[in-house]
Amino acid sequence: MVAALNLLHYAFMRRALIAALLVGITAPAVGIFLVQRRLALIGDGLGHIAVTGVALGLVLDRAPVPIALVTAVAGAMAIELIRARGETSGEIALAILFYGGIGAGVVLVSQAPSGSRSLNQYLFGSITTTSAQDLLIFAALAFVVVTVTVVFGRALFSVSNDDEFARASGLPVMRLNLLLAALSAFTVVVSMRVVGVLLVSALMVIPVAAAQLVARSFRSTFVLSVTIGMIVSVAGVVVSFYADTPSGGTIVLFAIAVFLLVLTGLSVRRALHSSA
Amino acid sequence: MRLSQYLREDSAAGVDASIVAVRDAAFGYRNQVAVRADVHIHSGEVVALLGPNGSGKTTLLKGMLGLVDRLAGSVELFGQPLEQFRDRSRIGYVPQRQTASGPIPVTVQELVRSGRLASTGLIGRRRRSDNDAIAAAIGVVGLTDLARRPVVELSGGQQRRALVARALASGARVLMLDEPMAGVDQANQEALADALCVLIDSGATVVVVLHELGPLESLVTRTVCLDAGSVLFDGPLASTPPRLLHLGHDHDPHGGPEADHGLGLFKWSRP
Repeated sequence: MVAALNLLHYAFMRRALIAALLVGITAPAVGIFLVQRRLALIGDGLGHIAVTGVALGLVLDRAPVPIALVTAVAGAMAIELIRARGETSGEIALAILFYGGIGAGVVLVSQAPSGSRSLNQYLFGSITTTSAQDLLIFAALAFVVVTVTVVFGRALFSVSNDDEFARASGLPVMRLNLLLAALSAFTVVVSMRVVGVLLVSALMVIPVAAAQLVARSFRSTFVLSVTIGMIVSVAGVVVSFYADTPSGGTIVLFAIAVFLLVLTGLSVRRALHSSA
Repeated sequence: MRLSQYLREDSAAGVDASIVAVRDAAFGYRNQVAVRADVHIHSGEVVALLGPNGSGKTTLLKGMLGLVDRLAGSVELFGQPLEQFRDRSRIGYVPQRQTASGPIPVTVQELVRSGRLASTGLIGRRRRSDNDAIAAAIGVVGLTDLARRPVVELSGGQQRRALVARALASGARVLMLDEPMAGVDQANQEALADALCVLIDSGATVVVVLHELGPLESLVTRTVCLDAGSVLFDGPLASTPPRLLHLGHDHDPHGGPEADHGLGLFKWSRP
């Protein structure tokens, strides 16, 4: 705690901790609906597509975050439309989109003045380089994600839990799915400086996976997974500063540690119950 | 708490009013016709769609709701063309499901609340009457004591009753159920039949896909018997040829190809 407070003396660490909190809140808040839809890894695909946007920004010598936002949202819409067609060839189309995204990104960045070193910061996170402009964009996106999640939460739950019933109920399922896809794209962009586009999916899924082991309702899973998300993000940033490790990997390892801790705790409790 | 006070006043749907009109329709998937039918259902009827596995009864039910492709003909709900029909809260749909929720735990109350969206709208404020209607819907299927329990902890039959409560939460007077008795033990079948009996007594219209009549025999007024995608018989239960009542005995209650049309990409299961 004291260590965390000491970090607040540095402006770049204040920005880093705020960015970490934003990711800790938004990633599980969107991830819970993706997990319920059994599309847990869609964030990973969106991260791949966002790489093209980052690379474009580096090549054009413009801020990569806004360009990545446009690319990720366009990719999210394309994914949802391909999925909605429901054809077997859709899987191949998605694979082309995902790996095309990262392939184009790598080729583009080879032409950038700063080279591939800059790209790494976005792939795996480099939280201490978060600029004030980045933070403003992240805060605005996080505000949109949280507001939409709260306002449309019940409708998103209904579509994620049973889209056929939602369609029979007259809900605009396609529009809600596009909304969730856009929220996922926003979350990928919010996360790109903190955990990086290649690790963002971990924060969308692992806190939810840990929470659902102990929670007994959708609402309590939501609250618990956001809480876990915030704790592991902030703890990961603090530890990565002192241990001089990459923030993205550290945060993800923290999240996995929490998941394993909960799983072990449950196994021990079950063993004690059965022996009693 | 009585459910009847939360059921919609369907003044537009008086006695013998048309609820569903399927005219020379063909339904299927990706341009493949699975069933052809011409069926008209009126207010207060209890219609069983009977037939063996693959006969097209589930596709016909989904076709009535616009959940599968319509390849020919027309469908009207409450006298309006399906594509113009907006007031979906008048119809409660119970899909065929072995489990009522995904990987995240969902309580019975949360599941049933999602059925209320058809009448409250996407972002409608939660009112006290919504909570009362949800409690009444849970009550009519006899799950009040389990309302706060995660759905996955319930038996298959109890989960099916929770799905019926979800369909009722909007106040619908028309229920469309897909194999509600499949894989359900005797006690839960009877509990479901009791709940349907209460609804039918209050004037509800019911369309139910079944592979055999079972405990619903005393409630059903009319049968539509299907085989190989065609309607073989449509008339009162008493006039139904006995051999057609038993066509579904070879049915697989755990669902054939009709049960899953998902893309199957990114499957994730609870550890």
